[in-house]
Amino acid sequence: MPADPMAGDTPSNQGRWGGPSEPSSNQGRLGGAVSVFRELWHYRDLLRSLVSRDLAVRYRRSALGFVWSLLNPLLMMLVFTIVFQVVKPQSVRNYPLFVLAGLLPWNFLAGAISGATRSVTGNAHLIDKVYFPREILPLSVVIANLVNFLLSLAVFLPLALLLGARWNGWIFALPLVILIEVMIVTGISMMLAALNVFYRDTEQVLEVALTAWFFLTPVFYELELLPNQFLGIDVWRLVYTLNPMATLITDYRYVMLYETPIIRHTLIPFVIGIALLGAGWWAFRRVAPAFAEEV
Amino acid sequence: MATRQMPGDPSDAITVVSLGKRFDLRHERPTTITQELLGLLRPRRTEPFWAVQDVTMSVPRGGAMGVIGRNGSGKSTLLKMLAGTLAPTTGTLVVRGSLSTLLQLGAGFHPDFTGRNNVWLSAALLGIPEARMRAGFDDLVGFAELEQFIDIPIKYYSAGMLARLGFAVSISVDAEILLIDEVLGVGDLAFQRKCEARMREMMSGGRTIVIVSHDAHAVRSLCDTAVWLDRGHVRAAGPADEVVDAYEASSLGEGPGTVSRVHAADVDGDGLPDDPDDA
Ligand SMILES: Nc1ncnc2c1ncn2[C@@H]1O[C@H](COP(=O)(O)OP(=O)(O)OP(=O)(O)O)[C@@H](O)[C@H]1O
Ligand SMILES: [Mg+2]
Repeated sequence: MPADPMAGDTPSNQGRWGGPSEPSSNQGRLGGAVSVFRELWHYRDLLRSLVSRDLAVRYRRSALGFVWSLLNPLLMMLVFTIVFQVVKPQSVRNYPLFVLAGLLPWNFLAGAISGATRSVTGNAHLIDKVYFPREILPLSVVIANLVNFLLSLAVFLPLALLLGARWNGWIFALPLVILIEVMIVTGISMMLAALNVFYRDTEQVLEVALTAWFFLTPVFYELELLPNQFLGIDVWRLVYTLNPMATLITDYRYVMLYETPIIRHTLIPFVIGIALLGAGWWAFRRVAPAFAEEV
Repeated sequence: MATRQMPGDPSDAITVVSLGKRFDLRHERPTTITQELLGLLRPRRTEPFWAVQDVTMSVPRGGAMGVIGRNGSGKSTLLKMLAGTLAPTTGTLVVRGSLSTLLQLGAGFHPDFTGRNNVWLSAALLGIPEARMRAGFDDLVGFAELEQFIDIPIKYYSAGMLARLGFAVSISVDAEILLIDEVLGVGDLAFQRKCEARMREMMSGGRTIVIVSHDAHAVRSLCDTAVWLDRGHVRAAGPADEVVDAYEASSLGEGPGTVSRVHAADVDGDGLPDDPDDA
C-alpha cells in the first residue's frame, strides 16, 4: 500500500487532462479562482523558495549586498539632481527626495516586469519535466522585487522625515497605493511572461517600451509640467488618464512627502490595476498548458 | 456529469487509452513578433506530426514498466504526458497517485547554491513541503554519498554527483509513481547498483515506476513489462524480456530507415487493456 499518510497531500495528475477528444479542455482544471488559489497554496513552499533564491542571488553576489540595491536609486537620484538642478533648474522643493520618491516605485515596476518576462523562458528545463502551477515563476519575480522595494522604502521613509518630509494620516494610504501598483505590475508581468514564450523578442520590445514609459511618467519632473496644449492635444490629461503610473507616482509623493490627500483620480489606476491583473492572469492560464511544447 | 467514469482498472496506477500527441511543425516557425508580422504576408505552412499515436497501455500499482524505442520514437513525449507537462492531443490518461520525476539538478537551480539549498528547491518543485523533506534529509544525503559536499555550491559538483543528488531527491519525496527518463547512466557502477536495489525496494513497497531507457540490461533486470515505441506507435508490449529481445533483434537486423511499419495497437495480456471502450 502507499504507506505514507501524507501521500494524499502531494499532487497527482489524476483527471488533470480532459477525456477523449477534448484536447484543450485541460483548462477545466482552472475551475475558478478558488482552485487557482488552492493550487498556489499547495505550492507555497516553491513560491517561497524561488523568492528567497531570487533575493539571495541579488544580495549575496556582492559584499555590500542589500546596500547595492539602495545605491542604484541613490546614484540615479544624484544624476537627475545634477542634470535638472544645474542644467535646467526646477522649482520643486527638495528635488532629491522628489526624485527618489518616484524612482523607487518605478524601479520596482521596471525590475519586476523585465525579470518576470524572462521567468518562464529562463526555466524551460523545469517546465517540461515537472508539473507545477506556472504562474509561480512570474509571481516569484514580482514578489522578490516587491520585497526589495519595501526594504528600500523602509530606508527611504525615515530618511525623508529627516530631510523635511511631512506626514499626516494619509501616510496610512501608502499600502493602498502599493497594492494598486502590485496589481498593475502582476498583470503586465503575467501577460509578458506568457508572450515571451511564443515571441522571444518580447524582451527587446519591452526594453524600448519601458524607456518610453519612463519618460511619460513623472519620475524626474512634475506631472503639472506637461503641457495642456501641444499641437492641439492636452498631453497632461492624456498621460494622466492613460498612464496609471503617472497618477500612482504622484500619489506616492503626496503620501510620503507632502501630507496632501490622495487625489481622487486614483480610482483610474485602481480600475486599470484590477483589469490588468484579471486579464494577465486569465491570458497566462489560458496558454500555460502549451508552454512545455514551446520552450 | 458529476461522476464521469475513469477508464481502466482502478487498481492500476496508470491507464492510458488511445493516447496521441500531435505537434504542428512549422517549417519557418516565427519565434519573434517581427517574424510573425512578416509572416502575415505569406501563408503559414504547418505540418502535423504525430509524436505519439494511439498508445494504449496500463501499469499496475507496484509494477515497473520500461519504455524502449529508437531516437525520436516518442518515449520522452509519452513520459511528459504522464508527468502532466504536455497536454495530449487525443485519448485519455489517468494517473492514480502522486508523482515524482527525476530532475536534473544544476540545470534548474542556481549553480551558486549549495546542494542543501537545491534539495529544498527541487522538493518544493515536486510539491513537497520543506518540513516533510527535512525528516529524511540525512538519509537522502547518505544515499547520494555526498555528506562531504552537501554544503558547497553545486557548480563544483561533478556530473555524476549532480545525478546522484537528483536521483536521491526524486526517490526521497516518496511519491507513489516515479517517472525516469534516461538518466541512470551517469552514475558510476556502484551507484547504479544502489539505484536498482532502491527501486526494487520501492516497487515491493507498492510504488510504481516507469523508466525510459536505451539500456537493455536495466530494462530487463528492473522492469516486469515493457513497451516498444516505434514512430509513436506501440510496436510491441508485454513481458520486459520478450519485448527487449524483439527490439534488439530488430535493431540489429535492420539498417536505419528500414524499420517496418507494422504495429500492434492492442496487445493481449499482462494487464494491458485490449479495448479502449471497456471503461
Ligand atoms: N515540442 C516539440 N515540438 C515539435 N516536435 C517535437 C517536440 N517535442 C518532441 N518533438 C518530436 O517528437 C518526436 C519524439 O520525440 P521524443 O523526445 O519523444 O523522442 P524519444 O523517443 O524520447 O527519443 P530519444 O531516444 O532520442 O530520447 C521527435 O521527432 C521530436 O522531434
Ligand atoms: Mg527522450
